[in-house]
Amino acid sequence: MQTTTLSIDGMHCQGCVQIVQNVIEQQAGVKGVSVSLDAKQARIAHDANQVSPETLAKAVRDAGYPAEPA
Amino acid sequence: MNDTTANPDELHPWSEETTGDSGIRRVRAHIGGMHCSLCTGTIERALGAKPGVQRVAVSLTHEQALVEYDDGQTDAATLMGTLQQIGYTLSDPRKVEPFERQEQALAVERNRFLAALAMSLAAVGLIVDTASLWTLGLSVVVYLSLVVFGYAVLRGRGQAAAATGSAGLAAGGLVLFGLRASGVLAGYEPLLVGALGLAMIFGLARHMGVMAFQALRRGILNQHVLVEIGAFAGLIGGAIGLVAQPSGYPTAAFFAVSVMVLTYHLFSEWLSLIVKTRSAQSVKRLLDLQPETAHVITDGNERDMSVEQVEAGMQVRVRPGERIPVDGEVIDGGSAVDEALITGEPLPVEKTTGDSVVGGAINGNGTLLIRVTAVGDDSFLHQVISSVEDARALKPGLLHIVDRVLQVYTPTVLAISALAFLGWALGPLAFGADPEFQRAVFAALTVLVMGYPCAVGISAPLSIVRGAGEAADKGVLMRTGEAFQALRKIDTVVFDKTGTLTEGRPAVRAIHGIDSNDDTLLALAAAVEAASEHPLGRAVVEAALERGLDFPEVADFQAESGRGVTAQVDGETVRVGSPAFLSAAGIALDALQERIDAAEQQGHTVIVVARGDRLLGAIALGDALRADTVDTISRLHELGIRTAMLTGDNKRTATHIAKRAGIDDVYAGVLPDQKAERLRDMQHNVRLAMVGDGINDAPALMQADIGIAMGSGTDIAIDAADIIILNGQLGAVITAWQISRWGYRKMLQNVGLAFLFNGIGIPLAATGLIYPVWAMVAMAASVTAIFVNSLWQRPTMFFDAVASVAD
Repeated sequence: MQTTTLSIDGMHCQGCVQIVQNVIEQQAGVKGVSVSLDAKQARIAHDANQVSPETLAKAVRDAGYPAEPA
Repeated sequence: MNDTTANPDELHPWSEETTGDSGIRRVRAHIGGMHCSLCTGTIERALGAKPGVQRVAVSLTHEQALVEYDDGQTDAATLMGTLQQIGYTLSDPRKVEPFERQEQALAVERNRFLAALAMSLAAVGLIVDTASLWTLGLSVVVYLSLVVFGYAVLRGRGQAAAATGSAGLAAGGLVLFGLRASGVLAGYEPLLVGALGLAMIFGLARHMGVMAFQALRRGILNQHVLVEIGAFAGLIGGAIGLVAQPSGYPTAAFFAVSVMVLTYHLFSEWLSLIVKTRSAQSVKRLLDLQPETAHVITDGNERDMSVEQVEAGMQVRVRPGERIPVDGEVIDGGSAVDEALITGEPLPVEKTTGDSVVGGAINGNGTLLIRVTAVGDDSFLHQVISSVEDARALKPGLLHIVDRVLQVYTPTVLAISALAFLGWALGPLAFGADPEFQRAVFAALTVLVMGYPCAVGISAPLSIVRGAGEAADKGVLMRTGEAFQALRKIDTVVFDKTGTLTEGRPAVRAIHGIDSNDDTLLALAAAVEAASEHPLGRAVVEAALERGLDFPEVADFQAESGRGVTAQVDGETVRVGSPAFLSAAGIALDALQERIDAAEQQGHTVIVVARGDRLLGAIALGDALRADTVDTISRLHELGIRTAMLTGDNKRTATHIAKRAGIDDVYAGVLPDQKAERLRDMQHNVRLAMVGDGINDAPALMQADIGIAMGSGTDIAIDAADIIILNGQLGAVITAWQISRWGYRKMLQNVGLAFLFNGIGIPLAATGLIYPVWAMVAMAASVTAIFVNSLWQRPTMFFDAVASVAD
């Protein structure tokens, strides 16, 4: 299992945090995610064989929030 | 309980049901043709008077009527026929008006308004009198206000479009003015404007006349009646001018006024339609929750069948992750099922042979074989839908303040007009002078023309546009006009528990490590739980991620469904699971027993961790209160508003949460279809708002005076709520309340401004000294005043609202 940190821009409020959380959790292979509004990042525990950090970042970008693996 | 006879739509556009009482049937219909809040009273009276009718409920916002009647004395066809006789149209409530058709209607109305605007500008261009500086000045003022109006409406599509559009509109009027000034039209202007007037009343704005006529038939004097009175008064005034040709008579001006009143009225109707349409479009339907096909097993063969064809007694297989298609009883297999639909609890419930499951719930990781117990309208989901529809019709309605004022205002205008006529016709006789018939007629007509408070119809929609815009900025979606009028008057706020007062997801609440520190315990538990799909596992992983912990390597993961998991870490067997799971494996829990009991008392779920045969510690998980719950409740109390909790959860947990949040009253163990009933009881005494998170609260949200839904990021499944909170903050309830008060004040200001100009103008008109052009000025001024008052500093809200109308 791998832990990936993504730095994410554009989250304004709790509603955005929840969207990002939902988007990441829906990716197959994600075991858990913690999103921080203040730190502007998400820490994700995932099965490296099922999903890569880049795929996760893309999913968040597709939802409308610029994201990069930190 | 309820069963519905399947009525083919072609036969009758309403739906019938039986009720709990024998002999009493219920009919529901979607009603078209209700134009104002007074119509609900008319319908209720008309139907209530019929023999055999026990209960009538009508909702204006949702355009629904519900009638309960004695089967022996009357039938649905008769009752619905009555409605049609008094001029309403019927359609089936289960049919949803397609999105495209609504958008088309909006576009048509916008084009209609722009055409009317062009005609108004043309009319003004034709009546301008260059001789008198006064009339020239007034006409220019009116003309400019119309052009600016056009610009504002077009502005949303870009500066260029707005500029060219309004320039085009202006040009039309100017051309006609030029023709007039150059004498080409040679005194035919009155006829031309008269033609415009006729074109408006009987052409472009014909449906207004129809609505006014229908209202008159029902004895209602609403704004449609008022505008038609004004328009016809203008027509008559102009006609008199054409026929009698008295000198200095403003024939053309009278006709022009007809055109203008209808133009403004068309705008107010269009704006109201935009507001109403926008609010109805933002949500999915409850029906989406039911899958369309089921895997039916017959004689050992599995095949897919449409859900509608599945019958009770059949066997259906549900695969992992699928939505359960029908209500049933488990006959084989086992799985954890997410029943948020019924209870709101996001924690899955273990189901094995003999347990019942509900259609719409989400299956976990196991496969289930179920025997179907209920289908179609007997199914749980349909009963919830039925509850929502009942509540929809039974929801307390509001008489719009404008309609109430008009009940008084319209007769007053008519009375003043009559008095003016009589005054000038008969009054002089008292002084020994000749009756001034000409002046009498002139005064009477001018009063009627001045009487239309054209800005009144725009007051409410504009204040809603502004208020909704402000609210949206703060993460609150105000969907209906009711949101403004009623929210500020509520006495009580009722809250759902899970997902509303609480986050709705399990989270780690406490960590109790023995010897080893909490971080190690958490990291180990997370590493092992990471392989499980259980939401509790996720919560543990989330907590570990939050603390930035490293996860040890884990091998040989094995899950025992629902009880616990085991894995190998650094050569030792690690067990993570419920206290029972660890006891069964021989681990002694004495050191932690007290802590475990205390946590469970609080309604938390406890996970225990052991490495080898050593107990490492326990982790308590539960649903946390939202960060601002306690604060919001206390602020509500400060405002003098009582709070209550309505939940399907058990009394112990509910009371515990209520105490921590500071809530006054608790109603626990309430099933979804009972929630609406419970609110109805409370509504005998108080006005209440209901705050819920959607799926299982839909009937209650619909029944409450105001329904407020917490929309989580991706899941807004409610058609039932008046307000939707998008930012996950419970405090937004208070924001919504404040905006409701502010928005209502704005609306009152608007209504005041709307009537102000007419209030001054009518008495002046009664003197017979005022020319119709002043009516136009009054109209232009009042509309402008309302726009400024509503959109001050935020004009883009209006531009955007209007621009959203596609082609």
